[in-house]
Amino acid sequence: MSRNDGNVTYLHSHRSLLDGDLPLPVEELAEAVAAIGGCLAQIRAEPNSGVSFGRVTNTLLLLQMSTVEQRLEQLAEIRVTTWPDVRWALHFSNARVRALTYVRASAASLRKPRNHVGAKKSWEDSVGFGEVGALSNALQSVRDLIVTRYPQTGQAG
Amino acid sequence: MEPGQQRPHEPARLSDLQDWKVRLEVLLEDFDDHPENLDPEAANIQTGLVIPTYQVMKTDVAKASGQLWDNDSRQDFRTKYRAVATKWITYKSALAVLDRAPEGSTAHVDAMERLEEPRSGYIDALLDFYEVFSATLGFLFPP
Repeated sequence: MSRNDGNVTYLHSHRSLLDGDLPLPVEELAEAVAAIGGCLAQIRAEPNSGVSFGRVTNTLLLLQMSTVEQRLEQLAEIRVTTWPDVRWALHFSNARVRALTYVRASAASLRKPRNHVGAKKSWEDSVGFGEVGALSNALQSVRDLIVTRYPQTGQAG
Repeated sequence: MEPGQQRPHEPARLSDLQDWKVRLEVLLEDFDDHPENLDPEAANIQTGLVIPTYQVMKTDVAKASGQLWDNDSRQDFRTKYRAVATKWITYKSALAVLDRAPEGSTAHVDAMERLEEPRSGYIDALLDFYEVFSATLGFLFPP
């Protein structure tokens, strides 16, 4: 809510909370969006990659997930106590924690030693089909939350 | 405030209190529909909003308001704060149990179910605390 008396504009405190300075540079959000975009692209490419299933692909995925994990950890700075848009910070925090849980669980599954040495397995075999879907959804939720609220970050990925 | 009563001097951290008040208001509105949203931010809310609010109220605001903030009202505010602090201990323990339970396990499902009561107890106490805090701030420092 705003009121304009001559040259003075009064802003409602809730409004100024929404639009205050961000405690993190927006570039960090953009980097997370790009990392998540790369990881999602890798996951989606997997079923169609034909010959590339196996150790090399899993290693690439592990690298992507490791980057995403680091980015998500850095975004722990987004808190309801300091972030200008409180409601967004609350929803983001939930999405971030859920995504981190799935990234760590999926990475742990991929790192597990296999019973049949040398057998080529898709990453969905390694991680589990349900987990892949849950991981993708969790990552997509984080990405959507960031890009919807801060559209300038979408240009990164 | 009664006619003729003097408005207290504004404490240095009044803008912080107003910021925390708005934050708590927005959060409580959200928890009404999605109480589970509290879990990842609960520790931040307790240490970054509730405790500082109580500390600034009992020091800066108490000093600035003098007798205008009467003893009964101060006691009521303390009681509401202690209720939040007590509920936080129970809720925090339940959160720790959930954290330790492996994702997807039966223990995890049990821990999620056992979290609901302490969480709602904490939210109820937080709402009571917010209402007294908000009313006191509005009374002492009307916009």
